[in-house]
This record gives sequence, C-alpha cells and structure tokens, in this order.
Amino acid sequence: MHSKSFSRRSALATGVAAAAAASHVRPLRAQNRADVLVIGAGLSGLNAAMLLEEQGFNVQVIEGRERIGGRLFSLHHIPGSPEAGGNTIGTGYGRMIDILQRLDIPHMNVMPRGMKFPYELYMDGEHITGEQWKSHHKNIMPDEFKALPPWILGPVLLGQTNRLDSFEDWYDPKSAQHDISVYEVLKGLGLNDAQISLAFEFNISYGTSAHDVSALMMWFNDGWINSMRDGGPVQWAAVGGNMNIPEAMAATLNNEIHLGREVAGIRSDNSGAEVVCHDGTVYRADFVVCSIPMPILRYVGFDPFLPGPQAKAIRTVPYFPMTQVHFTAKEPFWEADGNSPDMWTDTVAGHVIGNMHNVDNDDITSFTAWARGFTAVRLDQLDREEAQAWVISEIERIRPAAKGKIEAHYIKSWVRDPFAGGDYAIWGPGQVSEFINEVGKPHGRIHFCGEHTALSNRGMEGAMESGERAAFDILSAA
Amino acid sequence: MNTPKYYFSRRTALKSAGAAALTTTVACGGSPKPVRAQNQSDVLVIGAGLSGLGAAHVLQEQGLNVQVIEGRDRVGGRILSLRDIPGNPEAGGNGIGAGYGRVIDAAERFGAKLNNIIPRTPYILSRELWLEGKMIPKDAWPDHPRNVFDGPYKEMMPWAFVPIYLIQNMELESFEDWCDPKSGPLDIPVHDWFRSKGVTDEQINLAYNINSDFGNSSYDVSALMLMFVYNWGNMQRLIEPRATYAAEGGNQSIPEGMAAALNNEVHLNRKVVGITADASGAEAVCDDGTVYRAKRIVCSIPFTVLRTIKIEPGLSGVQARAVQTLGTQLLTQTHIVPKEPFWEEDGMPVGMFSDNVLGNVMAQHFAPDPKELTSITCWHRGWKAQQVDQLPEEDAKRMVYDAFVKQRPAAEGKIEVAGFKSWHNDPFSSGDWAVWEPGQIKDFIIKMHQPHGNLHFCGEHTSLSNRGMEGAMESGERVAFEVLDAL
Repeated sequence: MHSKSFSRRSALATGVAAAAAASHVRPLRAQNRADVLVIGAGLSGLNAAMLLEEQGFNVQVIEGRERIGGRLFSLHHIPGSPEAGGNTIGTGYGRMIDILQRLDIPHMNVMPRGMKFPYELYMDGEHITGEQWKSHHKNIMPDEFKALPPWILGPVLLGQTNRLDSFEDWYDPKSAQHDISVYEVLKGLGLNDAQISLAFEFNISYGTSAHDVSALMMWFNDGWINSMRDGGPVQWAAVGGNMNIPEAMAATLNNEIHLGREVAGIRSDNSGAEVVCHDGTVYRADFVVCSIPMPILRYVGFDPFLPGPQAKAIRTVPYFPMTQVHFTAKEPFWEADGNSPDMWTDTVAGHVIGNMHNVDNDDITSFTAWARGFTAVRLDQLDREEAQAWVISEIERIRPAAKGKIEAHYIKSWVRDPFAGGDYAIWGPGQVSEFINEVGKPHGRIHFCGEHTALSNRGMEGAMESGERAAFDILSAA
Repeated sequence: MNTPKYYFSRRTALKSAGAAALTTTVACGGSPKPVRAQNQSDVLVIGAGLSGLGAAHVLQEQGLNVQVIEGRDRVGGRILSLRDIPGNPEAGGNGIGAGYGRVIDAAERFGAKLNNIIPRTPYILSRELWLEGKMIPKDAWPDHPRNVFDGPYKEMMPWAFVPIYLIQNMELESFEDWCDPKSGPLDIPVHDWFRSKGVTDEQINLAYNINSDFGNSSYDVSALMLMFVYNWGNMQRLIEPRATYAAEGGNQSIPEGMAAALNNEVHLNRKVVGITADASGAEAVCDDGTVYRAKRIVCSIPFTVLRTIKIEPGLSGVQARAVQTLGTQLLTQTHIVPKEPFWEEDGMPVGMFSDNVLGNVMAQHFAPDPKELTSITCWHRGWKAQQVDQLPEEDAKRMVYDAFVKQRPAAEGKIEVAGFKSWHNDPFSSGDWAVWEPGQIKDFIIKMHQPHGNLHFCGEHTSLSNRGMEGAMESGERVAFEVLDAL
C-alpha cells in the first residue's frame, strides 16, 4: 500500500475506540428497522455502512437506482467496460487503495494509457496538430504558453497563482479572501477575456465559465493533485470496471441493499429517525446517513425543516454539467487518415478520447466524447437519441475518415440522472467560505456524506473520506 | 375591445423621443436601396419573438430592408398557445396587463382580437393548499400546526404572503429605480432581505420555496428584482384593475400577425451558431450553412442560449460575464384535459397549491363562458421543473400523472396529459424569463445590452421599465432606436 494512504482501520483503532465499545449489540428490530439507515449505495454510503457494521451496528443501506455504485458507473455492455463516472484512482487515494487491497479487487495501473497518442485540435472544422498549434493564429495565448495544449493552460495558470500554503487550508475561514472567481485571478495575470476563455472555458473541466467557479476550489484541487506527484506515474483502475469496487463493498454487508427506494422525506426527533420513500416504504432507525447529492436533496422533505446555510447550499450550489457519448469504431479510422484518435474539439462532441481498457494490450476498446459545461447543457436539452446522433454527426463532419465507421452505444447525462443532478459539486465564488464547513454538519439524527461534504480529498477519495467522517460522527453520537 | 385609458403608445414614443434621431437616420439610411444579394439586408433580426418582431416593424417603417430569422419552426418565441388543447391554453406569455401599451397596440395594428379575461380570473385563481398529500382547507389553515406565520399573516394562505409583504415593505419609490445604482443595497438574496425584516427561515420556506414565483428559490433571486416585479405589477393593477387581456385563439396570434405584416417573410429553422460583427458589417451563420449579411444585427437570443453561440470579436468584461451567468426561471408546464369532472366526484376544487412535484395546479377557464373548465395546467417551477426536466418527456408526464391521481384518486382514468412544455429543455430558450441573481443587477443591468460593434441586443432580459411581453416590446423599440441612430 502506498505510504500516503490513510488507514481507515488505524483511525478506528485510535480515535473512536471508546465510542465503538459503547455500541453494544442491539436487540432484533422490526422489519425496516435498523440502528443506522444509509441512503445511497455509492462509495460514501457504502464506506459509512461498512465502518458502522464493523462496530456492531445493524445497518440498512437503501438506494434509489436499480443498481449500486452511484457516480461510479462502468458500462459493461461496451467493449472494455468504459467508465461513465469515476475513472482513475490516484496514488494519494489511500482509502480507495486500501479497499482495493482489502477486498482483493483486481486492479491495474492505467497511467500509460494516457501517453500513447499526440494531442490534436479541431477548431472551426480545421484539424490542428500540436506542432501547428504552437504558431496557429487561433493560439492567442502569451508566448510563454503557446507550446501548451489548451487543457493544460487552466491547471498551469491556476497552479502558478495558487495562494494556499497547504491545500487543506481551503476550508480554513482565513482563506475566505481567496474565495473569488477564477476569472478575477486570471485577469490579475494580465490575460484578456479571449485568453481566459481559451485557457479555462474551452471544454471546461470545472463549472460552466471562469466567472462561476471559485479559485479557492481550484487551488485546493491543484494542491491535492500535486500532493500525489511523488507517488510516481501511477493511476489505478479496477480490472473490468470501477463499479466492481462498490459491488465488492456491498457484498461485505450483512443486510442486502434495498434498490429502487427513492427517498421522499426524512424525519428526525429525539426518539429516532424515519425515512419515507416514494413507493410508500418507511424505514426507521436511530440515525440516518444521507449521501444524496445536493441537487436531489432539493426535492427531499426534511422534518424538522432544514434551515440556515445548509438549506441555502442545497438550493444554490451548482453541479457540474457533464454528458458523455460512448461509441466504438467499426474500423480504425485514425489509421486511415493518420491523425490521432483523440480529438479536442469545439463541437458538441467536446473532448473525444480513445479508451484503452484491455489488460494485455493498448488497443482502443471504445471512445468517449466528453461534453462539459454548457456543451453538456445543449445535449441535455435534446432526446437521448437526438443528442447521441448530433455528437456522432459532428465527429463525422470534422473527421471525414470516421464517417460511417463509428457507432454510438450509450449517452450518459449526469444532470438528467434523477439521482445525481450533475456530476460533482462546483463551488462558486464565495460559496466555499459560506458553505464548506456547514454542508457536512448533522441535522438532528441525520448525518450527511457524499463527495460534496469532503474537506481533504476530491472525487472517489472525497466520497470515501466523507463516509468515514459520517460514521465517526455517529459513533460519537451513539 | 375598450382601449385602456393609460398606455404608452409605441407610435407616440417614435413621434416624441425618437423624432430627432429618426429624421437624420431616415435621410441617410432610409432611402431606396439597390437590389441586394440574397440574404443581404440592412438589418438582420435574430429571433421572431415579440422583441425581434417589434424591432423589425419599427425599422421597416423607417424604410429599412429588414430580414427576420428564427431558429424554431414557428414564430412567437416564448409566446406559445397550445392550439390542440381545448381553450388554447398558453404555455408562455399569459395575461396582458392594462399597462402593456406596446403589446395592446401591436395586437390592434396586426389584427389580433383582445378579450378582457378578468371574468375568468376568479375561477383560475381558486385553489386549496396541499401539503404532504393532504388538503388543508382555507378555514382550517389559521390554526393548522403547519402554519408558521405570525399576526395578520397567519390568516393568509402561504401564496399570498410574498406579494402582500413586498408591497407593504416596498423599498423602491418607483419601479424604474431598480437599475439606479442607489438601489444597489437591495441587490441581495430575497431570503436575506426577508430575514432582515424578521421573517424566519421556516416562514420564507413556506411562503417562497414551495412554488417560487420568481427565481428557483429565495436564495438565488435578488430582492431588488422582486421589488421591481411587484412594484411594476402593482402599477398595472392601478392603471385598470378590471382589465387584463388575452388574444382570441391564443396570444400567439399577436406575433403571428406581426410576422405576417413584414415585407420580408420570416425565415424559420435558422439556428444561429456564429455571429461576426466588425467595422464593415455583420454576419450570422446558421447550422444549416446559411449565411446572412447585414449592416447591423439585432439579436434577441436569450443569454442562456447566446452563451453557446460564437461571437467574433468576442464579448468581454461585464457583458461577457452577463451572457455567461445571468440566471433564468426554471418553468415546466403539464397540461391536463379532464375527460370527466372528477372534482364533482371528490368535491374539492381543481386548483391546488401543492408542495409536491405538481406545483401550482390551475383550472383554466378559457371558454367564452368563464364557468366552463377547458383544461388544467400544472406549473412546475424552480427545482420542481428540474425534477421533471431530468426525465425523458414521457416519463415526466407519467410522473406528473401519477402524482396527480395519488393526490386526487377520483381523477384516476379521468384525466389525460395533453401537453407538456419544458422551457429549460427548449434549445431556443434554455429557461423562461431572466432571473436576476443577487448582485447581478448592480453588476450588469446597464452595461449588458450595450451594442457590440454592429451587433445589438434585445429581448425581455434587456428591458428596464417593463417585464414579460411588454418588456420584450420595450426592448425591441429601444434596440430599433439604437440601430436607427447608428445607421
């Protein structure tokens, strides 16, 4: 195991031993009655459930979808099982690596995949190689940045401007002064609007524009990613798809997960908590762990009413619009025209990446067209079939060699997923300081987790961290 | 119809304020032109809604050659009358207030007959409160445990609180002051404004967030916008409390009449993907490859859509920020046609102000006899709109139907979902009207619609003194003057 990883077990052994000892074995419960009810069978909910079960709690996990995994979603019906959700596991993902090892989940280093093909751009229908880009008239960046591909510009510029000593300072109230828009920061470097747009908004990775993303969030992200540098060129993924990870976690639980339970409301009082589902099912428990993402929490009723900054965060924090079209090539069109299979485009196809998911070779198994920000919003307005066809036709338009050679299999919109409402939380300017220390606070017997409540990690590792925190909170409260 | 007593005539305005500008522009820009190449005009107007059509008429009257193009396969924009549903209910712009001078004028000039719809209003507004699937009759509300209001507000239904409270505590002397920098301190979340007056989180939630009339919640709409909305709305009532109009056969007759009266036919299905505006003129490129050239372009595209269109040279500064971030109202409607009067069976009013996905359910009485119910509209606003917008349309309709019959078992099998309109999932609007988020009014309301080279902006989001349909018309007039001044 990597040296940086934080062992969940050692934490349990130290911090919460006393609380855990107090949680003795409970009497048998009536049906739908548990010590802890966990809402959501994604990484955060499952991690909380496993930890609480280990401490002797009777835990019931319920899930709205007909599958477990949440925003880990491997598309098993497409060659190579490409990921529609969480992709790679960095060297600093201690909890994730711990789970891979403990549950014997086969995994492999997928870092070399990203290095095979050169980068190429497609702008206004024109094919531009990396070499051409350096002196292309559309490359309006200052000279020192001209050699960089557009998607490196944002990370480089935000890395250069990072004002945080430690990335964990992002949630320290003293950092509130830095909770400004990415636009303001880049403007401060002397960049003009067109340069900012090229560097940050072209196939945007966070938010929808430079105006609506907090630099504080981006600096946290920058520092967190950098902290994994000394782990070497390693990124893990589960062989056969990352959804194997939550599936393996779920398999360890004593109580079977109840699928298709869409939560309508949560009640909490001195005597316990109650969760009512749309199908009329009612669950009772001493505590509730709620991992529902904020856009969906907007439709969940709370009794007592959820007030203050937490209610405001739930109603106002934007989530990242991200929509993917997964397709395969009937013939290797990139060999026909000699260009890279990967395409950074200004069309609704966004960033097109060839996936290499075989264990024993680096053949392309499928492609993913990543539409992000407003590009995703445009696709999301259409019917699935229509949106998928639009992406394919745009790829064929800018890449004639692909015409008739590609076939779409699946479109995944995270915004139009009724259990997600977006990919992940995007903290707008001012929202980090206003909400970050509030969203994870318990409300009566309801404890919140999910990547949006993570403080020291992002993505899958953030989800795991938040599940751990929620479990500790309950151990302390029980 | 009776001509309302007070309204501001577009023609009067042309005669007075714009007269000086017009004389000069007509002299140099309005003289007969040589025959143009195809798709070449003096002014290209993008969008055949009220603002674009209004601008096109002013410009055409001044002798300019105007071409209007429209992305949809119909004219009317956010006026959309559902003509395959009894009574032709409106999915978009609804009642025309007595002070909507420009709209009333346009209806008269372009052959749309306006009827006073006040007689149907009491039937449409009749509704009961439904919380957690149960009806709370009006007489039980004052003592109901869910009633968290104090004093006189305890006697009112939750939906009455916001308009009454805002009028009673109005901080704008004149509605037009909303874009005055001195009103900046009010440009805060309306939630914070209510809290500063002592209204509790729980009261705000019940009054505002169950079915938010403006914005998606009390947190993301500016108090200043609401001050403007209610001050302006109050003015409409003061002008003539007994008149609100709608066009016979649906309000869409108004833009249809306007479009038919243009010299150049509106080109439909022209989805603009790029606009270039430089010193030599302006050009719009459509996704079908069509290119339009003009001396000036008037663009009525809502900012939610404009932000996905390539503009060269690019917008910058405050204007770019406005285009990228201006908020929008999430609003989706489900239109229901009853096959049998289920309300006679369960004895409850059709109208429901409901805390579930149904939202605000209104009985439409659009027949000549105002007692006759023609259809039922569920208004899903704010996050309720998002909830249905996430689903494929058929699933969304099913969700609404299921929620309806769960609440009203007597309606099972007796209602039909006949229409569904999501303004957010409409690629030509991406939302309904503009919603000013806290801080946005002082940040960009004055600067955001300034011309960008030869590109001019209109649409209800750019209006300063009116809202809705009248705001759209006002902005079309303003932009036409701007173009006339410049040509």
